[in-house]
Amino acid sequence: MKNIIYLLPVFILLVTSCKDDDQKVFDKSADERVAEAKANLKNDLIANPWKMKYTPDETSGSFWVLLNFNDDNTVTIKSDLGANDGEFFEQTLTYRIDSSLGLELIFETYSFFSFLFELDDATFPAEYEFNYVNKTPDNALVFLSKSDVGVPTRLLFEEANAGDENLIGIDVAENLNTMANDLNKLTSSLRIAYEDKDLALYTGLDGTRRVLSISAVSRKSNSANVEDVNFTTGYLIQGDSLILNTAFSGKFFGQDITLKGLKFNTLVNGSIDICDDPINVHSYEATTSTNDDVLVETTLLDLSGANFVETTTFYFAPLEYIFDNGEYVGDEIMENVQGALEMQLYYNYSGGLYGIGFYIENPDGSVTFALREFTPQLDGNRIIFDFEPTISIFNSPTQANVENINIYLNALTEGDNTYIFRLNDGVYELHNPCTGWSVVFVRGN
Amino acid sequence: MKTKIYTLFLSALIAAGISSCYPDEEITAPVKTTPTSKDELENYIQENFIDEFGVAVRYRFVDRYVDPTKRVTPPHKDVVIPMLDFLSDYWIEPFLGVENGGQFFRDHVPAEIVFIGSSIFNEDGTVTLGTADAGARITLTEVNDIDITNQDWVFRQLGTIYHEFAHIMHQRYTLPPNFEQISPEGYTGAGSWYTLSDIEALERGFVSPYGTSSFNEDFAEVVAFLLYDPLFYEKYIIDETENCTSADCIARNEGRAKLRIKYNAILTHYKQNTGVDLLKVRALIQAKYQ
Repeated sequence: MKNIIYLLPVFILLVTSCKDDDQKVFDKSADERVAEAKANLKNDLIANPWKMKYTPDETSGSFWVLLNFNDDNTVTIKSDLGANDGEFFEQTLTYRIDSSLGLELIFETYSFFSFLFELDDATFPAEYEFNYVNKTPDNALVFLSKSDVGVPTRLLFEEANAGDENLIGIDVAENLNTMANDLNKLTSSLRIAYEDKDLALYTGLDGTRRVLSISAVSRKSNSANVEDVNFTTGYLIQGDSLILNTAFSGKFFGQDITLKGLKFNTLVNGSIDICDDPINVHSYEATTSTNDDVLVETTLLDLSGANFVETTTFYFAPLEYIFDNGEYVGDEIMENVQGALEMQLYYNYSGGLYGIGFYIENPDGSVTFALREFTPQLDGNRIIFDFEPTISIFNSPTQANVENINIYLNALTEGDNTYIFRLNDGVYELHNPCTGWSVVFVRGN
Repeated sequence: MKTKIYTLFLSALIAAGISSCYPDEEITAPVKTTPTSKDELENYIQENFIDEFGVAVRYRFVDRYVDPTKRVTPPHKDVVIPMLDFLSDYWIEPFLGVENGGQFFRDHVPAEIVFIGSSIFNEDGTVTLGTADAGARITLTEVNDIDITNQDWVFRQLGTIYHEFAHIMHQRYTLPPNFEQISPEGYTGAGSWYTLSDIEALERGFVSPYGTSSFNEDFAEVVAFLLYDPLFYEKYIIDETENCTSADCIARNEGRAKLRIKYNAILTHYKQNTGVDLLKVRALIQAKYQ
């Protein structure tokens, strides 16, 4: 009897153990569902071409981007980013749909998106990996940046039609790039002169971040009559127009102006005749959003450039900030002036020193300041250096060949054609358009 | 007897219970096949690296190859074949061109090479030029800047490749005997090596400040500099003799004396363990610069 009692639980176990009571929440395995989700997203992507107004960062401007995904995992991306000799106007590369916490879209090799991502030592908040979010009721696809540290950039892929090719403003981008290269400066230096108003705006354009800045407004007839302004906004190139994120408006010399954008017409060749050979420059005829005709022209004038004398009395430029026609020359300087670490500019420093030259670190750890002292003469944003005949050595003696500092000071000041351009708060570019040399000085005190 | 019958019956029941619930199963999973690629680059990699050496080349961006705190960009597709040709010329051929070098290379080559287009940008604003993971993967950066006429770029890449490939040597065969005792007081640490100048490192008996960060890095740096640097002997091995009376010059020569010991130990270590004469490898590499 006892044994029967022992066997009873075994019987119950056997009777119940083969019952198929697994409940499948999903009708497919996890792998199957992931594969299906990836296939669905791919089908959506290849279903039609897409357009996207891409704004990498709230402080930057925007780009129209057209994307055409193919079944063979290639995608053709069109944009009007004119960098790298037009590489990003149209390029085809591979894409991949991955799954991690959700679906991801990845552009696998270097592209328009990775170029922006790499700006500023890869601190610019662009992206080339996107997390898929959803499809909207009107069939747009929503993605979020995978790599943004803070609030991720939201990207909206909207169905594109044939006419959307006209959103891409390659001609305008190329022409503005041409103007940015007119002077071999680091940034463009433009004047927007009104045809029917006695007004001119002094602007700079950053074509990769799509940022426009206006630093001053003057009378067109008299640039000495000037009002400083400090206006910066992102912009979008759309077809033949440049559209500001924020309108520039105000009353200057009794005239109200509002600038929401520019519609460009014709690029015109011109020249600046201050060097032995004329410098070929360009101007761009345009119409403002308020129907004023304007001429956007390359200029050596930067009415805020001369303000550098009011900012500080000491500036420094690491060798990385010294350029010969846009090319880095730091290695050459280090070779010719052993121990040189930076160029320095003293302007009425400590009650009267005017000097420009190099900070040199000697092998024994001592420091030498090798300067050419000068008497300055300012003509607007043009500075003339009247140099003392010899090089002054401050602090410690040096074995470095200090005579070689003249190679670089001459390149910057040759022909008394050194112009000062304000790049940012406390940052000024000294540029000689006749030699193409530039030094970017940073406020040091 | 009854007990025995019950026990037998119980055993039969348990056996039936265990086996009865398994349905007849057939394995019907499809066999995965990889179609032959029509992509010229993929075929080039398959033929010259995967089939030849068992090395996979990762040029399509996969974020798990990079520390998530770091920012990088992928390579241009156009630079991949030139970059692979560069590796063939300056890394594979010199090893294959010496006695025992082919076997050594095939036995020790990492399973993966990862290409990064940019530098590796770290959170603290510094950049990393190349990495290796346990001898299994070498990551090369700045491949988008490929320019074999640019000596700085060439030396940077070769320095990375030879350095990382040298790590595999000590991982397999340990460091040369007593290597740690050659300049024990000269080591700094992973967090402070960058405070030294090149000259200070030399005075301590190292080819670079990074070499002072650990025994293993010291070993890898000496091998790398020996292979790629045309001025290796002038800088690190041969004493300065002309007017060498200053304390600084004497200190540099003392550093070189230690480096000569490391140099000989490393040459012997390679020869004894692998049969490879590093000096012959160096000669083939240096001939490429002509």
